[in-house]
Amino acid sequence: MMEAGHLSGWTPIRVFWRQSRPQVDWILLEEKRFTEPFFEQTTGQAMHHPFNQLFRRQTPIEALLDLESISQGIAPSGFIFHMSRCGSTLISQMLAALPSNIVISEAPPIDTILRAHLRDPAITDDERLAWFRAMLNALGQRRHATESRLFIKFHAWQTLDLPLIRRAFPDVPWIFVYRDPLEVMVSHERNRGGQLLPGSVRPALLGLDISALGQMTLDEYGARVLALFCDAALRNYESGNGLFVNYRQLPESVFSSLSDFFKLSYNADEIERMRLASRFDAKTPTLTFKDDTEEKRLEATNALRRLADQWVVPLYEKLIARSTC
Amino acid sequence: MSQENFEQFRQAVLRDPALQRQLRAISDREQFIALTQQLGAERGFSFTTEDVAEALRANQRAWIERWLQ
Repeated sequence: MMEAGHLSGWTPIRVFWRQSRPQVDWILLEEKRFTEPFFEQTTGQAMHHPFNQLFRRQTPIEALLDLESISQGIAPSGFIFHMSRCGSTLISQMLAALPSNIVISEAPPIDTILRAHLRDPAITDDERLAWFRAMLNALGQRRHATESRLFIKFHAWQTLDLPLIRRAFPDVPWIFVYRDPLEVMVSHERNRGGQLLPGSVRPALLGLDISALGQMTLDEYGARVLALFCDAALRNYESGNGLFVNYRQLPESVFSSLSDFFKLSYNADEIERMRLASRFDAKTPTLTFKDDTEEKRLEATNALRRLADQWVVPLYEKLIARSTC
Repeated sequence: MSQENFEQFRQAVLRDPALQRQLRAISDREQFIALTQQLGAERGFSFTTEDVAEALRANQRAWIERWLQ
């Protein structure tokens, strides 16, 4: 508990293992907000500061719980899940454009906690749940007077962790962002993301053993993983507090159905800031956004279309059927 | 001995938010090294600017290599 008193103003940026126990790296972000498209970009820049290189603090993971017991962070206002390459970063970048919002996007320390039981099977769901809650509490510590909301955008594969995440935060609204699977698959064919490479999810979840992975094309593997993410979102829909958001309705739905769902309202200045953010490529904000839907559809091979139809399109249609935006 | 002194100073900084703010305000590497040595000396911790620079290099290397662990 003594440690926690010294953690005021410090931000956890990594969970790592030492002697089979999880530890946390903390740094001082000071004035720096999470405005880059991804958590690692913000913390990577902050780690360039000599103070953080020299005085990075390391604690056992229990320090997160100690901090939670003495300093309540901003409670989450919304969770963002997605199937990858579908506009979720556009949403998180629009939210991050407002100084009132802390937006944590695909943070490795959250991922390490959610996967901790894969590293050490002795770690229980209750432990992961407590660490996850405490990690969000630490990331939600108010560092600027303007901050009043916390949003978490998860890695695509963390859609599979929805039951645990919902158990930890049953009242927090969550969205699942999706896009026509063929367009997502073309995007990955151009530049394949780690989400759709073997190893992103346990083969058993796909009904496969490791030897089968080697014989499968990357496109088929990707289609099956996308199906897994979409299926996980659909299965958790009945538990409530969920909304499916179609890429085709972006960015306008951020100002309408999504705002209503997250119980947000914006003034004219905030709307302008968010619109400005939406004009740029979300993952490369130095480039302007260009809708490439038609380009991607034309580029798709017949083999890719067959895989999309076989594995993902039936789930995509179910997502559309349950979407209000 | 100077490395031990530096580590003791590092622990003192981690307990002292005012010292943290003072050091965090300097982003220039050379100025930061000089200030670290000076603040340590003012508090009776004996180490050189080269000790600080070496600690910085070692920590930076450890951070870059973190995924290799």
